[in-house]
Amino acid sequence: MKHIVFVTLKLLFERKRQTIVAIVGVSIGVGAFIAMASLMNGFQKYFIEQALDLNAHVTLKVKDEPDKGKILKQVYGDNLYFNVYGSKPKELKDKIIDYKFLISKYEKDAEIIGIAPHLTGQGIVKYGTVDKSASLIGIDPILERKASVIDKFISNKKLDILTSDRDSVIIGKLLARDLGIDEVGKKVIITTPNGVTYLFKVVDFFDSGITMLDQTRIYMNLKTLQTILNKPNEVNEIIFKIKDVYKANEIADRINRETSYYTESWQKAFRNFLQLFKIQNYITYMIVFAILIVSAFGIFNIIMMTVLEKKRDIAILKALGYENVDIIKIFVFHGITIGFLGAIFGSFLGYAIQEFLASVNVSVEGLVRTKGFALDRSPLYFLYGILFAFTFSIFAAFYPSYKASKLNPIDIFRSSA
Amino acid sequence: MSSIIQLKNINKKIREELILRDINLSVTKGEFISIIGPSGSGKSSLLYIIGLLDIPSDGEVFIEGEKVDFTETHKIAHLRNIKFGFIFQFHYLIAEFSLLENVMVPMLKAGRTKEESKERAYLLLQKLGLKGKEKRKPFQISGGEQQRVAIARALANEPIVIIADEPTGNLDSKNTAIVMDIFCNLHLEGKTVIMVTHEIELTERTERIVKMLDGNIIEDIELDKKKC
Ligand SMILES: Nc1ncnc2c1ncn2[C@@H]1O[C@H](COP(=O)(O)OP(=O)(O)OP(=O)(O)O)[C@@H](O)[C@H]1O
Ligand SMILES: [Mg+2]
Repeated sequence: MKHIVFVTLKLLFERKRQTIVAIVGVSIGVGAFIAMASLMNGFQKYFIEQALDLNAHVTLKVKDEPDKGKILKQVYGDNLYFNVYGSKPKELKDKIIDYKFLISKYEKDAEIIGIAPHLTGQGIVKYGTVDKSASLIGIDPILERKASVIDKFISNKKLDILTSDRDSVIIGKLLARDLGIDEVGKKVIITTPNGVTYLFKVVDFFDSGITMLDQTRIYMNLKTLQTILNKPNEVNEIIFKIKDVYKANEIADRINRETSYYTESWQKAFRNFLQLFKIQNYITYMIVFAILIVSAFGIFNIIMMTVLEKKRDIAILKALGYENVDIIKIFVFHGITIGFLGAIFGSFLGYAIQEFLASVNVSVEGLVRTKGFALDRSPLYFLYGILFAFTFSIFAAFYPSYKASKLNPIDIFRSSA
Repeated sequence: MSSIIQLKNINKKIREELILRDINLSVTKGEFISIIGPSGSGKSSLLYIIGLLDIPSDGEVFIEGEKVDFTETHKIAHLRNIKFGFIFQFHYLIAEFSLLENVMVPMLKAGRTKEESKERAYLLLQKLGLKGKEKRKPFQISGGEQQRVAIARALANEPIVIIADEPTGNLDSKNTAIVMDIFCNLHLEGKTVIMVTHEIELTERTERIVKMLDGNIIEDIELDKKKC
C-alpha cells in the first residue's frame, strides 16, 4: 500500500495547480451545500417553531366543513363531477357548550398533553380618546399554559393576574403602542358588539413578533369574556397540544370523527407555507446537487487529464511491476484525497459562511419579525457534505482510473519511439 | 548450464500478421547478449515477450525453469518487479519525482520500507555517478545522466536479468561508452544482460549476438568472452 500512497501523494503534491483547482471546486460545492442547507432549514425550522408556538397543534372550531357536495357524493359516490349553484348557507354550529365534557374526555388521551378552551369575539378598545378594534380572547390561564407556550410571549410573565383579577387584560404590544399605552396599570374601556362597555386594567403585554397578532389581540379571563359577551358557559374553540407534533393531522381527523366538530391541524393551518417550503427545498437541493455534480466533474476532469498526461508514467509503472489494481488504486486514491481535502476545506468554508450569515444584522419585518438569519447549524449538514464529497470523488475518479489501468504499456513504448 | 530464460516455439501474431516466427531462445545466467537486426525485424517484440510485458500467441516461456502461466497477471507483475530490470531508448523517468524517488518506485512496490528504499536508491545513484544530484528532477540533468538514472531504477530490486531496448539510441558516443561500461560491469558482476541495438560496434563488447530478420532468428553467434 505504501507504494500507492507514495506515488499518489507525490503526484498530487507536485501537480499543485491542478490539485488546488480540484480541491477548491469540491470545497465550494461542500461549502455551498452546508450554507444553503443550514439557511433553508434554519428559516423553515424557525418558521415552523414559531407557527407551532403561536398556533395550536390541533384546533377544534365551530365551523362547518365547506363541503357543498356532501349529499351528492353520498348518493352518487365519490367519482362524481359536479357544481353546486345557489346553495344557501346552513345554520352553523356556532358554540361549544359541552366543552367541559370534551376536555375531560381528551385529558385522558395518551397522545394529548394539554387542552384549553377559548372564547373569541370582537370588540372596540378605547384609551383616552383613541379607539381601536380588537379581537378578544378569553382563556383559562391554567389550562392555557398546558396547551400552549403563551408565557413565552407575555412580556412580564403576569399571566396569572388574569385568574386573580377578573378585570385585568393583557393587550398586544403593537395595539398598546397604537393606543398610546407604554406601561402596565393603565385602564382601558372595552365595548362589546352588544354595545355594553366595561373598564379593564392593562396588566401585561403580548409580544409574539407576528405583526398581525400583536396589533389586535387582547387576552382576558374566559369567565370574564363569557360574561361580557353574554355567552355563559360557552366557548368557540378548543386547542390541543399533542406529544408528537407530526401526528397532528391524524389526531385532528380522529377528534373530528369522534366529536363531529371541525378540526384543524397546524399543518393544515399552515399548508400554504409548508407547500411553499417543499418547493423551496426541491429548488435548493437541485441547485446544491448541481454544484456537487459540477465539482465531481472537476475531479473527473483533473484525473482524466492526469491519466492522459501520465500515460508514459503509467506504462513504466506497469513495466516495473505495478499491477492494474495498483494503477486503479493510485488514481482513485487521487480522487479520494481531493475529495477529502475538499470536504475539509469545504466544511471550514461552510462554517465561515454560517458565521458570516449569523453576523449579518438584517431586521426582517413581515411574516415574522426576526433579527438576522435563522440558521440551523446542525453538524449533520457537515457530515452530509463530507459524505457527498467522498462518494462523488470516488465515483468521479473511478472511470479515469479504470481507463488508466487498461493502458497497454507496449502501445505506449511503441508510440513514443 | 541451466538457462534462466527459455523461449520455446514462440509465435506472435498481430492482426493476422506474424511478427515473431517460431522463436527458440535459451539464455544462460550471466550472459551478455545483444540482439540486432533491421528495423521492423521484431527485436522489441521479442524483448517484450522475454520481459513478460507481452503475451505470445503460441509457445512457452520458462523463467528459471518454471513455465510462465500468462493468465496469472499478479504473478507476472511480481516477476517483472523483482526479476527484470527494464531500460528503454527513452528514460521514462517520472517528471514530478526526484531522481531518488524515481529509483525508489519499484522498491516500494516490492515491499521494501521507505527508509530502506531511500538508502538503496542513494547507493545505486552513487554507483552510477550521480552523487549529489539525488534531489534533482529529471529535467535538471543531462540525457546521459537521465539514462543512468533509468539504469539505477532497473537495478533497484536486484534483478537477475537486465532488458535494454536500444539503451544508447538517444545518446552521443561519450555517453554511449559510459552506458556500455556500466553494462559490462554488471555483466562482470554476474548479471544477465540482454540488449537490443542498432550499432554493430556495440555488439563487439557482448559475448553473444542474436540476429533477427522478419520475425526470425537467423543467426545466433557466441563470441570470445574476454572482450567486455
Ligand atoms: N500494434 C501493431 N500492429 C501491427 N503491427 C505491429 C504492431 N506492433 C508492431 N508491429 C509490427 O511488428 C514488427 C516488429 O516490430 P518491432 O517493434 O518488434 O521491430 P524492431 O525490430 O524493434 O524495430 P526497430 O528497430 O525499428 O525498433 C514490425 O513490422 C511492426 O510493423
Ligand atoms: Mg524496437
